[in-house]
Amino acid sequence: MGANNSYPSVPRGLRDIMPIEAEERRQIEKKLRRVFESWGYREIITPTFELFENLASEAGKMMEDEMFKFFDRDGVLLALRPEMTTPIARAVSQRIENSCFSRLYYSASVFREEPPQRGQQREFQQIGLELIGGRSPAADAEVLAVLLESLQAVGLKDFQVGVGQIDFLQGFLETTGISSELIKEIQLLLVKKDLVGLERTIEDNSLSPEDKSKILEIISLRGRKDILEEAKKYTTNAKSCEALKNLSDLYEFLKLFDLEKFVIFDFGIIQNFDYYTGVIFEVYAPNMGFLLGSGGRYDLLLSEFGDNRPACGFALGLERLHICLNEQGALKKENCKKILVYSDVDIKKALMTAKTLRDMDFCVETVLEPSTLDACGSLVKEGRFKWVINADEAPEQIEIFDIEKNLKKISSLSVIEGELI
Amino acid sequence: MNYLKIALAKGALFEETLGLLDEVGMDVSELKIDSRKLRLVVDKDKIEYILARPFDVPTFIEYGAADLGIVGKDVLMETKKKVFELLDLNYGKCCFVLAALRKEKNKVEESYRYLGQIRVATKYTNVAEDYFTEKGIQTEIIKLHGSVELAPVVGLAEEIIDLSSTGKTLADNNLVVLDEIARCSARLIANHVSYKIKFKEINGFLDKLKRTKRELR
Repeated sequence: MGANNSYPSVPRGLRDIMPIEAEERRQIEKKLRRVFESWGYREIITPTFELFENLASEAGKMMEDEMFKFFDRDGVLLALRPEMTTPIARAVSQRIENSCFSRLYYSASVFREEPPQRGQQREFQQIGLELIGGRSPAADAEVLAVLLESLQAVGLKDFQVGVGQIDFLQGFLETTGISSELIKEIQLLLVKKDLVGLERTIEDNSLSPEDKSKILEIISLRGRKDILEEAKKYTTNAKSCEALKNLSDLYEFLKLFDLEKFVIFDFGIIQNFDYYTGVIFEVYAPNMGFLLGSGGRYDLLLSEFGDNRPACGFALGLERLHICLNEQGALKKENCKKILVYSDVDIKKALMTAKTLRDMDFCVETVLEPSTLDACGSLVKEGRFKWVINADEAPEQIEIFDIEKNLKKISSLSVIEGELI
Repeated sequence: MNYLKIALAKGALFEETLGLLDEVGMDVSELKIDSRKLRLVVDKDKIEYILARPFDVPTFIEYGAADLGIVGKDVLMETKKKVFELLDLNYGKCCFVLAALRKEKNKVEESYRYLGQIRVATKYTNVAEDYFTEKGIQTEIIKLHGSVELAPVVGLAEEIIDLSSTGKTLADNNLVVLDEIARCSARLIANHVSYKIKFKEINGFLDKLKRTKRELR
């Protein structure tokens, strides 16, 4: 190994992604891109860093402390993007004239000054999409359907997608007649997932005993389609009913795609209220203690950049997805068809043979010094090659070693294509 | 094997935690006997116990290495891990207090006015920092690993922040409570994702605990 520890390594929370992992990651990414593109989404690439004030807009406030901030030579405060939704909202508002829909996807590194989590350090890759324009449940369903299709396309076997609706609880809280400060406090405790604090807070306040227990019951409502019926019993206010209608419409749309079986409705999914405005979803996988991805509707985000179009989207943590796929044994080894060519007598023969093979669309490495099969041993052991070829007598006679099958064949360059299958 | 994994804090709470589990009908006999084991599987209850130091329990939970944990609120406040706080178990009660020497109580205020800073000794630096930030008081926080009450006596700090359950240790060292910062007790915590994936199992367990709690009242 070429370990040399006399040089400083990378900053805390960053790491090198070595070829084996990088190849696998690109494979996963490729499959996801294919699904996104089949739904008409197109890639958008935004700057790695932006004006801090844009990234820290009203909705991005929660990320303020987590951003890497710095000044440029003009003294302008900049920050590395901590997520992709806000930069895309900015780009769309500023650059795409009110076309009806914008379907955009991204696959990019984001940066957060946070304690490390599994599969998410200070720099990590997110892949996701935004559907801009369209407020109907069909839009929500599309985003959710692409998400579900994506998870299936990469071969993830064991996962759950929870779907909530922020307006349901919101509507209920508004009917209880409590102050907006108290609503804020309750929301904050829910976002922090502090049920003990929540119970204490609602205990200390002017809520009726009935409303108190209703709040606690609503946040543990979770199940299939029938839970929507169940939820109706809790309130009749317009906002909450609208939220339920939204979910049941969403369900019907998902049925068209035959995807409804993957969804669990969950009124306990509570995320930042200043950001999300409707449906909201989270992706879980067993043995991964953190969210694999999340998303939802955020109709007010674009308005911060002067555009009034609604939007819905999701993001997946690519590294986490990779870890889960690995653990679930869902990563298929791509058929290795790589060739190594060497020559003991004349490396020009090796180079020439390699060129011919590359012209036939093979991936070929050459040994750049006169070499024998034994001398190639360490390269071959890495398991990267299916065939090793001795080009000493090329082009008339070619020795082919099939590494997996441990076979030797003799052929000639003119008919070699038939041998390499 | 898809058992519920529960991390228990091996410390002051441990005995009472076993008592509670016993009460709700869990088999804790093996937990009682062998105190050196770090992992224990009880097939009958379909539970795997993980025995960890109190300050490590929130980490196990945050990462999902365990689904549920029982640990003190004091540890949760100090470690600041992102976990789901499900239930107050109402035992192991104690309180974070700000304390100073009885005879120097007024002197502390004076020295704050004069020097603009107080020295505070504590084991819980995050709790201390959060408290003083909220109050807008400037402090120099001195981290100690034990016997914090010694600090004002030997002149290392003017004030301390520490846990107190009976107040006896404070009194023994001529310290008085200046402020109660937070009341603590044992809490049931869960990993966010486990809570969703093992919703039924965790809620079943939660219900059992709630029922007992009610009977206790």
